[in-house]
Amino acid sequence: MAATTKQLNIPNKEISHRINFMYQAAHTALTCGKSQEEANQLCRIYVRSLRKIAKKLVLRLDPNIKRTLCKKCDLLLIPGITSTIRHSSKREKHVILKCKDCATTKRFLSRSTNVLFTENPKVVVS
Amino acid sequence: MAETDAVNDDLLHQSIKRKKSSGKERQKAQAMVTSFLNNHLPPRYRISNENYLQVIQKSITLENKGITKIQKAKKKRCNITPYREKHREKLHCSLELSQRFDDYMPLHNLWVDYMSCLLNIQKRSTTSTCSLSKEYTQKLLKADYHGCWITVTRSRCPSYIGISGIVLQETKNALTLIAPSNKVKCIPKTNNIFTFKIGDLVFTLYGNQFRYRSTDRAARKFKLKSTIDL
Repeated sequence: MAATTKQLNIPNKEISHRINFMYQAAHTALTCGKSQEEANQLCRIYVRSLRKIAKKLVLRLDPNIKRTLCKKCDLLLIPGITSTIRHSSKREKHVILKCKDCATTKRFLSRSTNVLFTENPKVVVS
Repeated sequence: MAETDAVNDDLLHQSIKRKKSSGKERQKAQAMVTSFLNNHLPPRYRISNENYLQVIQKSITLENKGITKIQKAKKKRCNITPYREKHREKLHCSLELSQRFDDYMPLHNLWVDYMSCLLNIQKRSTTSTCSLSKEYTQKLLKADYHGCWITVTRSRCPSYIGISGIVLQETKNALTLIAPSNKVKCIPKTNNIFTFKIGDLVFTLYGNQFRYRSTDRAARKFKLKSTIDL
């Protein structure tokens, strides 16, 4: 609607730029630090502020980003380092992503018909 | 409690009986028993040398105080709901690091890329600085400073001047830096002036005006204030 002008007018360009940076910073923070715990601590700080910014400005995080953040302890979930990933075919086939630190789980259904709203061509404004 | 004390008393009583033979030891024991009982019995049973035997031969039951109000309150406090627990963790989340400075260079490089991209430095190298400053202030206010190489240039406290390092954490009133000497330093924003450099441009941050949470800055509208201090 608003994007009918020549250039795409991104409403919160600086903020989304910042969120992007924070997400990357969280990744780099995980790699540095003497012990894993200390690295996790720094990572958490960045993810936490990322979440807060998005919350304040009522921005919706992209599901691909949101699915890599722990709901409880705000850690980046990277399979093998901070999380474990398992398939399960009980009840319905799904993927279980479990945080190694606080042991909270995320479950994603592996239905063939499931489409994320961002990948839905009807939603995307061109 | 009461039972165990009573048993203790019995034992002491017996030991005194056995040692009646030697006078010195008896006196010693008596002194010890009186001091022990005075410490442990309620005040109305205070023992002196005169009523010593009377009290010792009595059987005294200690009062069972039960759970006091303070203990009840403590028990309640322990029942924290998960949300509150999480919230508390958040508040006390602080960095206690003993780390190498070199590990954080990638973070700094990332920040430099981010900042130079945000300010469009390569495109506008030729324009005058006055026009730039107005644009930049709005952007800098909403920017992020995790990973920034910052130095304290002016301060009310002279020992802060000259400290430089990579910002690891930004809170409402302080910046946590990691210095090249592998030390983590927490520097308050109040009464400090910081500078940082991107490309050829040098920016100064006035700490007194900058005292907001880094997340609050993104959404807040600011008013211009003048600095009189320093």
